[in-house]
Formats: sequence, structure tokens, C-alpha cells
Amino acid sequence: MSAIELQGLSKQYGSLTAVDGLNLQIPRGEIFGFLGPNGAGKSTTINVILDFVKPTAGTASVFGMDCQEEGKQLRQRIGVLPEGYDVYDRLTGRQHLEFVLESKQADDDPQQLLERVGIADAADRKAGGYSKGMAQRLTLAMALVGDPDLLILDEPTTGLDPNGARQIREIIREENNRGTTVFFSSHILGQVEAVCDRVGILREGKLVADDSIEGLRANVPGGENLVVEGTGFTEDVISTIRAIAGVESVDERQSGEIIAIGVSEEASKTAVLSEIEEAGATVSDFSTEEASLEDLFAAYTTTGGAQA
Amino acid sequence: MSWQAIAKKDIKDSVRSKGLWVLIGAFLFFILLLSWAASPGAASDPETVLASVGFSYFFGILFFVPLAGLFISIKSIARERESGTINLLLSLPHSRLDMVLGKFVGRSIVMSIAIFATFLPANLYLLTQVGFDGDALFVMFALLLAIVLFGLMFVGIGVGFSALVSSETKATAAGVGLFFFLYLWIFIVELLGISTPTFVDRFWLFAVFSDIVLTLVGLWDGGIGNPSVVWGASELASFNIEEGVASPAFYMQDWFVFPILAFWILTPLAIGYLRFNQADL
Repeated sequence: MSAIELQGLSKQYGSLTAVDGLNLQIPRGEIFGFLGPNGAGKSTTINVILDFVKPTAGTASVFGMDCQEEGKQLRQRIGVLPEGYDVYDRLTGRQHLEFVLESKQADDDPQQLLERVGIADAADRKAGGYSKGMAQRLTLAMALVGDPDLLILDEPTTGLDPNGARQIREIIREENNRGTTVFFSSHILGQVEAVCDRVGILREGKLVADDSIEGLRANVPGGENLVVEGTGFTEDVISTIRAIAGVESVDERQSGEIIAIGVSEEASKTAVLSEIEEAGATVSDFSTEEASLEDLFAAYTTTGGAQA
Repeated sequence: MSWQAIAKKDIKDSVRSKGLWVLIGAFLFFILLLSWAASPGAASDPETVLASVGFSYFFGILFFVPLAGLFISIKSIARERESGTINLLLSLPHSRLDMVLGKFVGRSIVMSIAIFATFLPANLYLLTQVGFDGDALFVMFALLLAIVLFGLMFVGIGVGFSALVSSETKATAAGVGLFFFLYLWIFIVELLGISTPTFVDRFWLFAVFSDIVLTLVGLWDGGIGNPSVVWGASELASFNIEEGVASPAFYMQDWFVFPILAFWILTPLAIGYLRFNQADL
């Protein structure tokens, strides 16, 4: 039985399709990174799992329980850091946790949970006075109550400094070592690559990739940038370069002077360079760099990018 | 029980609202002033106490209770939806029915606290004026209980409508609209020239409150099944000296105010819940 299973899941808001026939299976014990640019449908997918929104078509289930029919029972077994939430301004951090403890009939120690997320000293202050990062930590502590079998974290590192983001990743690993399945979304690849067993990339409501980071890298042809310095990189020249066989992308790094050309493995860099000169530009220097994961992500999520 | 956790959380949250305490403070002052103005001097039988409490006191109740009831409840769900705290609440093992029930129970308790904070001092003051005997104590207790029950009507309506709307602004507008509507609908119906059976008049807030008070006070005299306050006028018109006053049909008796009260509480809650349960957040 999968931790999460989505079958043909679609959600339409009027004429806008937020999620489009999504199929996804997340086995137990996995850390799954749900990637995609803002507006790709990540939060809508999570909101269907949490029964905040009703799907237009398809089904979602968690541990075999239907998200629409058995939401209450399944939420007993999960911990959630939702998107677009707010804390109760007039309640203290401790009171938030007491509410969750009572709701889940759990008996964790609130102080210990607050220590774990690093806001123990603010336990008895009203959450209305918390910074965005502290509210995020409090909500994470709430998600950890009752040792959930599945953690669903929607953009957990929003509002956190790099140190806070690292602490969150540590907590994710600790929970996973305990056997917890982790499903977390982000629009930043760097947050995901360090901890995830598997990554799914969502674009315009569709899953465009579902693989390990290594698998993703292998699936993108080329994965190399040819960085060319020189003069005369006019728009005409750039469109000529785009048309060269083996060129996947052209990115102007400094207008008219430095361009980065994504080339496939089969392409001959020398041939590309000579074609640039033929087109009327002057090349003074060039270098190659391996495509970073950020480029890879961009390739998946921008229109006209690589198709795996 | 799931809704109990929500009610408890909600009470902790609501009693820390400054607006609530400002409202209670203002009305405590207002009601004490009315009580002082209405105090009758020494008299101790319940009827005299009730009469001495006077119309001004009743109007105080009829103004404060709907206002406070709607103020306390109308944003209860809409505010959580707009701010996003609902995303935390419904990520927990609570159904939307639990949320509506928890909100209703929580805000009802807050409403009762507000009523006790306002009317208990006023009633105690009136007791010092009429003397602490059993009759007077019972009437004051009955009056307090009647105010609490009457208050639940507005909490039910408020929570129900709060579940219907998606933003705080809409909730505020609904609250203001309801406040006037609940007073005026009976006159609007009349202005439109729609003739309704006398029974319909029983749903008007003035009749509801009066009937609750009369039913509870009637318990002291061992009398139940007296006619509703709205019964008198129409029946008097057709009063026949030979037959005497006929006993009213059950739905025109005072105690039938409780099914009517239940109608006012449960209908908005049910409509609000059914809509809220289907809504995308």
C-alpha cells in the first residue's frame, strides 16, 4: 500500500486547469520532493490530499484511505505544514501545541517539540508576535505531534534563513529514519536535492518528470553550457545560433557580449563557434560549464525546455 | 471528541479578544444604568419584579443580546478562512462538521460568559432593590437563563452564516444585515401586504424572548401551556364571553417557543454547514 496515491487527479477552477490528470505513487518510507514553479499546481494537489478542495476528476488516497471519504481518519496519521496558513495571533506557541495534542489525542511534551524546532524560549509568547520564520517553526512542531506516519510539508523553508532551512532538512531526515514518509514541495530545487530519494516536477498541472536526481540529470541530454564572450551578439545572431543543430538554449548573460549556449552531448562545440563567427559575431573567449541542477530544473519548467 | 478540542481552543482564543471585553464593559454600564432607572423600591413578588424591570430593561436585553451574539459568532469561521488558520485546523483530524459544532459550542460558552458578566451584576442590583426572597431569586434566575437561551439563537445564526461566507468583510456585512433583518422582517412582511398566520409572529425575536421568560417564570407557579404572547391580541378580538377563553392549540402555547428556538439555531447551522462542507477553501 502506497503512502500517497493519486490517480488521474484533475482540478479545474472555472476555465483554469490547476492540476491535469496527475498520476503519482509514493511508497512508504520515501522522501519525495514535489518540485515546480509557483502556480504549477503543487499546492492544489496537496490541498486535494488534505480535502481542502474537491477534485474535478480522479482520486487521491493516503495509506489506502480516500482523501474525500476518510479524511478525518487519515489526518490522524499525518503531520502537515500547509501553505497559506496563519497561526492564531492570540494564542501562545504552547497553546497551539496543546490544541494539536488534544485534537490528535497524543501525549508528546510541548516543550520538547518547541525545543526541537528551536523556539522553546518563545513558548509562552503570543504567536501573533512571532516572525514568519518562528511561525513556520511552530507549525512544523505542530506537524510533528503524535509521530505521524506521513509528513506533508508545503514549501517548508519559506521565510527561513539558510540555517533554518538546514534545520528543517535535518528534521526531515530524522523523521525519515524513524520510518516516516515525507512529501514536500518546493519551487527551489536546492532545498529538495539534498534530502530527496525521488523528485517529481510539476509543470502546468502535469508531471513532467518523476525520478531520482541522478536519473533526472541523465535524462536531460547534454547538460553542458558553452559560455562565449565576444562582440556583436545581436538578436539576429542569437536566433541563428538557436537554429544550429544541437543547441538547446541560448541565454544572454551580458547583453551583446556574453552568452551561454546549452548544447547537447552530440553537438560539436567547434562547429557551433564557427557558425557564430559566420553569422557576423566576434568570439574573443569561450569556456564550458556543466549544467547546474538549477539549469536542469529551468529546462524542465520553462516552455520549450527539455522533454524527458 | 473532536469538536470539544475545537471549542476549547476557540474559547481560549475568543476570551482574549479586546473587542469582546469592550462590548461587555459598555453594556454592563448601560444595563446597570437601566436597572437603576427601573428600580422600583421595596416590592418582592415576582410579577412586581418583572414589571419593575420594565420595558427599558427588556429593550436593553433585546438590543444587547442580538448584537453581542452576532458580534461573537459572525466571524468565527470566516475569519479563519480569510487568515488561513483554518488550514492548520483542518489539517488535524477534524471534519468540517466538527468545526461548525465546535465553533457553535465554543462561541455559545463565550456568549454565556458575556451575558453573565453583564446581567448578573444588574440582576443582583435589582435584587437588592426588591429584597432577596425565594420568588424574586427565582425570577432573576429564570430571567438570566432566558437571556442565555435567547443568546444561543444569535450564536447559531451567526456561526451558520459565518460558514456561508468566504471573507471577513462579507461576514461583517452579513452580521449587520442580519441584525436589522431579525428585528424588521415582521414589519417588512406586513408592508408587503402578505398575510401570515399568527403562528409566524412567534418567530419574531421579541416574541421568542418574551415566551422563553414567561415559560420559565411559569414553572414557578406550576403553570405550563399558557398562551404565547402573540396569542392574546388575535384571540381577544374574537373573544366570546359564553365560551370563555379556549385553551390555545399546542403550537400556540408558551413552551412551544423551544422548538422555535431550536429552529432558529439549527436551520442556519445546517445550511451553513452543508454549503461549507462542499466549499473549496
